[in-house]
Amino acid sequence: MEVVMMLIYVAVFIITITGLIKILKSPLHEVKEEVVEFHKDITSNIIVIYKILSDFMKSPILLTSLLILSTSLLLSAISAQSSLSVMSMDVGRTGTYAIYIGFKDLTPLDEFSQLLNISEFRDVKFYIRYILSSKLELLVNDEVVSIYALVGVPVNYTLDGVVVSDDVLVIGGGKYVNTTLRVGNNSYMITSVNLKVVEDSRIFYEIPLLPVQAYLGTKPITVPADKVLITTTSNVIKLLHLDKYSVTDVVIGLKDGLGSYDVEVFRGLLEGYRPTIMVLKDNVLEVLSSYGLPTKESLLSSLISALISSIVLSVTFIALQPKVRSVYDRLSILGFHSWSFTTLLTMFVAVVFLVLGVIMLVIINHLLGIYSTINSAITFITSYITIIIFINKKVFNLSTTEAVSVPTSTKFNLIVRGVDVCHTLEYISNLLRSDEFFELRDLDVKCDGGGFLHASCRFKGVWGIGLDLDLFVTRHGGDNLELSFNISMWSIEELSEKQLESILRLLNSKLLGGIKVWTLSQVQL
Amino acid sequence: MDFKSGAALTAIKILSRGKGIYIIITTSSLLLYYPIFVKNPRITYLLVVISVLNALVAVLADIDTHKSLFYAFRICGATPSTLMTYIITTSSVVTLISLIPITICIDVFGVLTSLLMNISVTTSLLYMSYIKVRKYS
Repeated sequence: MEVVMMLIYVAVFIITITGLIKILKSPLHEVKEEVVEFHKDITSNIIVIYKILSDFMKSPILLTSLLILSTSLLLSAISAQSSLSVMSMDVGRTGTYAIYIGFKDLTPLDEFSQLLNISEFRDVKFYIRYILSSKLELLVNDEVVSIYALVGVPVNYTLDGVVVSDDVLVIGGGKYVNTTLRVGNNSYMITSVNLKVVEDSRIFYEIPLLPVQAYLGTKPITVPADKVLITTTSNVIKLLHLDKYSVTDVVIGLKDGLGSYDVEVFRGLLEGYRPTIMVLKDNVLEVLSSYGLPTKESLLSSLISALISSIVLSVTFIALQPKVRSVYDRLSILGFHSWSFTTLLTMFVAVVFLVLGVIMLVIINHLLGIYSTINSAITFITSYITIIIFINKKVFNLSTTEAVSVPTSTKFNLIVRGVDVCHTLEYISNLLRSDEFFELRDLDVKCDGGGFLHASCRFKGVWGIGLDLDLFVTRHGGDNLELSFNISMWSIEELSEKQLESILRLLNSKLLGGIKVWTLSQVQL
Repeated sequence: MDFKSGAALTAIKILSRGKGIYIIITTSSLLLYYPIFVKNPRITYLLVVISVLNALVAVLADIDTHKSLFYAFRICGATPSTLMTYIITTSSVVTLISLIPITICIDVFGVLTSLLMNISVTTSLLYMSYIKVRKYS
């Protein structure tokens, strides 16, 4: 082992010495050539992208487009409508026509009575079926009776032959017969009724008199009848020390059939309190749900909002085109590709719109509910897809070559014989002055050996269109004159080439026809 | 400031040939659905905002044409009266069309608010365009 270690030490020593000698031996002034590689700095690309995007972010047109989108989403949300969903089932002949409204908790009567116009109905019964949060202990005949729920019924409600009134308290079981109980400053008569009668009592079809604690499948589990105190509704309110007259169940009896009623009258109630509402029409039981369905009108309004926002946003982004073009022209010189420029801007707008859309949908859901959110979502998705495709194809899609419109002009030469330069120019000047389509604004005529005419005319039919005419007259082979016409059109508006050419033809026909006729008449003379 | 009928007619001709007026007619026609079929008082506030945006966009759509005309006015030596007549006529026509959906709501406050805001926004936009043209010519 020691020998191996010794050999290693010697080898390292030799290598070190050799290296040191090499270093000391190399001359100090020797410069080694290094190949320097050009490192492309990636941060410069990021800075360019950031500057382009920040320029567009500050653009008032982008802010206007965000405002337009937000407003159209709100418009769609506010115009959302829903129809109540109704489930009907055949329950067999009951001979009853009634409406049942069951609230989840004690609800003050004055709050919901206006929503339902309760005063219009004659037979209205109010019930309270209330499970106490802590048991109520009553001392009856030196015995503590624990009460876990209170049931309030209308005055003169009959239960197993016992008429419930303001001074009567009923407990299920057989123990108490006309026993007096003092609660606070009031004396009450406690009476017992048959447990089975109480358990089987119904205030409405399949709605038990006793409050329901839970359901075992479809079977309701009620508070035991001997733990429930039944009295009038007013008494329950006194016992609970409530400030307002509150109820948990309302049964509206309708005699002689229901006539025609519209479920929409319950909309306010369903949206505000989400109660259970059932309508019994003899054998048909209708259960109204607070979960509505979006209506056709709602869908139509969302599509109209989407259409409006698509149209307005398209026009808004078109106004951004000159800025996009100027930015791209500068970047293209630096070698920025058009497809990456288009993609970058499209993705930027897409992300900004997406973020705004999601925020708006969350706010609308919080303030206006699910139906408004559905409507706004339809509007958002439709306009989002439309506008992204539009800006990608039309607004941000730039090519390096730009189509330059050639100004509409015409050049032609005429050879005329038997006339002289000055007379020709004079005749043409008169033609221009008397033209019915063009108003002569400027005329410059020179006539010596050759001739020159410059005229500027305005088209009478349309404002903002005119032409410039340059005419050179030269001698051509002895007795002939060569008339070189150069006519160019101009207009303030961007008109198509076709429109300008049709206007140009009016002057061409006047000049050619007039000169032809005149030269013929001169020859005959 | 006197009213120049030539400038007013020019404004109407330019508007009739541009895209903006047809955009605002289309959007105002579509917006008529809401005051007629949607019974919600809050619609009026949104319609006021949308009408302002529509008027703004209608003027933006033809802004190049308006700028060209301002340039032509400068060259021809048009008076300030002519310019203001043109601007006010353009703003008025756009505003009147954008007010149609709100008028159906029969909300006087909404109509007056929209009228004031639309006229202000469109006039300001046109005037700022003129200032830009004047600055660079």
